[in-house]
Amino acid sequence: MLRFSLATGAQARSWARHTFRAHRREFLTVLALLCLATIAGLVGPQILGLLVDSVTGSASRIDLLTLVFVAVLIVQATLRRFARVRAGMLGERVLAETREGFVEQALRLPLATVEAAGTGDLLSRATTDADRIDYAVRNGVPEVSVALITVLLTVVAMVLTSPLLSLALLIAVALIGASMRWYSRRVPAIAESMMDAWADVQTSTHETADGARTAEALGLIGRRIAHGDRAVDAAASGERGLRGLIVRWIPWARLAQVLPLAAILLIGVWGYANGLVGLGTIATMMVYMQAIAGPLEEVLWWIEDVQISSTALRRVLGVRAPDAGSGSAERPSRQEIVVRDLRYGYSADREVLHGINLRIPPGERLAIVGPSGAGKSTLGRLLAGVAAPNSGSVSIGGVEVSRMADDVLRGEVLLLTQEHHVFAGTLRDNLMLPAGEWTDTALLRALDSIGLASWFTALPDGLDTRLGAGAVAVPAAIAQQLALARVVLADPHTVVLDEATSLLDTSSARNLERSLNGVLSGRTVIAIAHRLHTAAAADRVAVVEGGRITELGPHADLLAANGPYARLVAAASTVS
Amino acid sequence: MRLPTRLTPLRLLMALLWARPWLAVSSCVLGVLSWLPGALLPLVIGDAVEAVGRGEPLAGRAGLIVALGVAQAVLMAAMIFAVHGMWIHGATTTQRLVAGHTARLGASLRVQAATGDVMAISSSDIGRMGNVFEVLGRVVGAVVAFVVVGAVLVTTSPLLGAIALVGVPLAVLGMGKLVAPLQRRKRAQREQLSEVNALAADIVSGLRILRGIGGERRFLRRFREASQRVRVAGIDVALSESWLAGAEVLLPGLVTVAITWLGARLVNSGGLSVGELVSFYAASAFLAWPVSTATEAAYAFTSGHVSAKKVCGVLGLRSLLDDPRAPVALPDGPLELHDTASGVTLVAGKLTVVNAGRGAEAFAERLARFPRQSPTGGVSSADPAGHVLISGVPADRVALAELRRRVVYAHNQDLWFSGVLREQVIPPERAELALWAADAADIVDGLPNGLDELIGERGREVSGGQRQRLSLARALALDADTLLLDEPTSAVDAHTEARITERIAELRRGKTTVVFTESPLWTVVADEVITC
Repeated sequence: MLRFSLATGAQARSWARHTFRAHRREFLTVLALLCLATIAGLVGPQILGLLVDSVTGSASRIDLLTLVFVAVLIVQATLRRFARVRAGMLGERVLAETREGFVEQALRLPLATVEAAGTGDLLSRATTDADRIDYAVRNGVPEVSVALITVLLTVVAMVLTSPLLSLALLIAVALIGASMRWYSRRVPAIAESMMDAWADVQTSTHETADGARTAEALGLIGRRIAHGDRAVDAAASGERGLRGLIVRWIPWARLAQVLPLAAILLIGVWGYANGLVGLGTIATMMVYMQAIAGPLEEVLWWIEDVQISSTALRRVLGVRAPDAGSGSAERPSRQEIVVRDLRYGYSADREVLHGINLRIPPGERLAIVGPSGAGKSTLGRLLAGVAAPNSGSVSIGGVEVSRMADDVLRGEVLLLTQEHHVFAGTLRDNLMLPAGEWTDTALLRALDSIGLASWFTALPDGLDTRLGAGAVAVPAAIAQQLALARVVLADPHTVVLDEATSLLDTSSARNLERSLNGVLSGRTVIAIAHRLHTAAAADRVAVVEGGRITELGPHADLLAANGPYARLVAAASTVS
Repeated sequence: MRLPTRLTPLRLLMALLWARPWLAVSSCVLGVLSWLPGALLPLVIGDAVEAVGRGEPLAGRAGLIVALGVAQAVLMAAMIFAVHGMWIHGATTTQRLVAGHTARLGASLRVQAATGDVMAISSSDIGRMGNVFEVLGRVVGAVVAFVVVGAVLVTTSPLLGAIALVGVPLAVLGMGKLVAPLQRRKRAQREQLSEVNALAADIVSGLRILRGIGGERRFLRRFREASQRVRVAGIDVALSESWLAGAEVLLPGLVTVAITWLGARLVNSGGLSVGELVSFYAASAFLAWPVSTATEAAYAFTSGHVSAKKVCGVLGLRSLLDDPRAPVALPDGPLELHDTASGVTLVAGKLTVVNAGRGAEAFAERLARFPRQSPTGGVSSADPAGHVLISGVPADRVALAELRRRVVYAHNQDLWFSGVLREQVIPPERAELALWAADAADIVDGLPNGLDELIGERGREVSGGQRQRLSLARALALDADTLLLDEPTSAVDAHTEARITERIAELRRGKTTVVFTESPLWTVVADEVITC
């Protein structure tokens, strides 16, 4: 299965550095609050030590120490609360930036890359992976910070309390160091394949839901279920692989917390006998060691999530468009389209267009006809600058279209393909996609001009009606008309219509094209069509066969020439 | 696994639990066992500290600590194995249920739910369902550990033990109060998030359109606005969460302070030994663990419940068509379709062209008994099948499985799934003939791996006309007794169309074929032409 790529570790680290720099103040505030909260938390064992030492003293001293304990606790809780608020706000900001950056990149990626990877992969990165990062940022960062600071400060306190007994910590350092090294080397590969498998689950589910009608009609239901089950099996086996690593690693991390306790005790006995440590010191050290266990465990637990979410981050950052530069901001002064020796292939060995030459004066209506698979749609995409030629050139007013900045290009030429899609949102959202602002009246006028006035009046909430599956369903033909309404709104000087009315019945298509001609009068219109009435109404007709223009001229001239076009017309009208 | 007939979130969770009873039991048992060594540790430590003071030998106690540590390490690993297994079970079984049900709903799904609803479950809810099962073993262990440690404390000092046993659950309850508003805010944020995800889901399908009209910038702006709404909702969540984080420190802390204070007073008055005080402090600190596990479990359960509700929402969707209780078998051979409402008869074994203009789709759906959505979004309640006779048998008396096998209705908006081309042309041995009839052999020949080529979502790699010919081949390969085709050649040129119509007429000779089209080329080869 084709997928989006994965960012490298270096890219992820550079992202982390950049993010830290951009929010340095917030990060440091959170860290400072967490530090203070942690320090307050460490006072507890100290007070206990004092309490143990003073149990034989006066009761009022015990009460006083207890009050201090309560006060410290309140301070700790308050600091922790504020730290969480700040961490949460920071996390949300970073996440929103990541999310928006992701979509910004996805929108700039080459069409083929996005479509080959599919909705499932994109969506799994935008949802499941983003959730993982969210979880790590929101809970992991504060928890791990608190735990790490606790561990570090406790270790410092232990060393200060008794350097001798602190030697026991070396056992923990050795065990954790070695086991973590083992673990963290193995996690990334397993996590990557597991997340790929989950992405496949989402891809499969998405397509099953999207194509449920097709599956039922063509007896593919059993295959879809089997397909989904296979994807889940792969994900489950990935999860099991990860579990295998954790299960082999955790015991060592656990032992690292308990063995030092025994060591402290043994060293303590020897030290006590030799007068090197007091009883209170041993008790305090034991409590410290136990106090370390919790946070240490916390850090070790989070290592799994940190590893997983760093892979998730690499997946999210992997959706990155190549830096194409901003393109030429030069705005062509003329509107003549010139195609010179244009060659194009989707892969190196399969050329689709073999040297096209064409000159389209402004305001011309050109129809492109030809057999299915001849390269008409490809030519349309190149004319609109959606794809760049392998060799040769397509220019508007002398400026190469594939090198124009997007904003400039879309001010010059629009492409309307036979693909139709209703975007999640309202009718207004679906109409207002091109750059520009329109009043409701203008939107209604556009709907009217493409013959949707009566459809519109039946909508429950007018322009604010939500469209799509689960809301108001939009039949394919109407989706196509909505796409035309967008072109009417955008009002470009050149428009490429690739089978833009193919889903409408013939009479509706004829009516629509007639009214469209009125709306787009004076504009250059390049219409790719297999219905020949479109060609008959055009100024000139280009016949594309096998990736070449084999005939070019007005409808009447071509009919008279009795070439491919005449044969096409004859084939279509043998009966009518 | 069998699902309960009346589906509620709780019943769904129980059914999932029952599906793997031994895994559930072992995760609970291991949950208990893995806590025990940790719970005993403070007691051994307290004893050891006192023994140091008394100058008693300590090798045995140190050995005991090590033994407890090893036991805990092993049991912990086993427990993780089991609870992780529970997560996998909960998440994957839910996913299988939802995906399977979605597939089986077929055309009824699209009328009732959006792809986004199903995707939301697949992307987040299955994980939350898994969490419910994951936390189960641990919370059982936590409760048992709590009771055991509490019992030991009570026997050592009834007063302190009682405070620990009452105070700690009270602290949990106190935190529970904070969980409800947090959940509410999380739900609000999730709703905002699902809007963001719906927008993201549009990128792949909509990018061609956005590119064509330069709509990327507007789309991105809309996404940013939705994303910022999520952020604002997230700040509300963070505020709620922060109170919980504070309470997590404060409430159990207060219990610990109370115990330590009382303990110190008791030692002071001679009612308790120093070692016992240290044990108490450690034990009450230890009790914070079961407490936080319980909070986590409460949290996992409430989120899981919300998710289970969404899952039930999808699993509760029923096919809009009733399968007849006593199905009538269709006669063998080509079938005749008769629509009593319009009086139209499609003769068995003939190729009929129906020119029904805008009404074609509704008519075809009625004939093939497909559910239909009314144009304003509602579901048309009347099952259309009552009006249709298939070789004399009312369509709603035919088992749906048989009906779909014998009467195939291929729509020109049918999709291709990503994967190997061959796997979607059934049966493969008829692929070649079907490709020939649909004039699609050249497309397959042009693909580097022929029929074994991997195609992407919706087969966008090939042009509209090519895709239409491949789809036609896919429908023809099924070789159904009755085949309904909706505008099968609307995207191909006249030459190709003429070729296709002749070949299909030849291929389908003796079988019932109904073509809904306005194209004159089809009427040339038709046995009958109906205009309505």
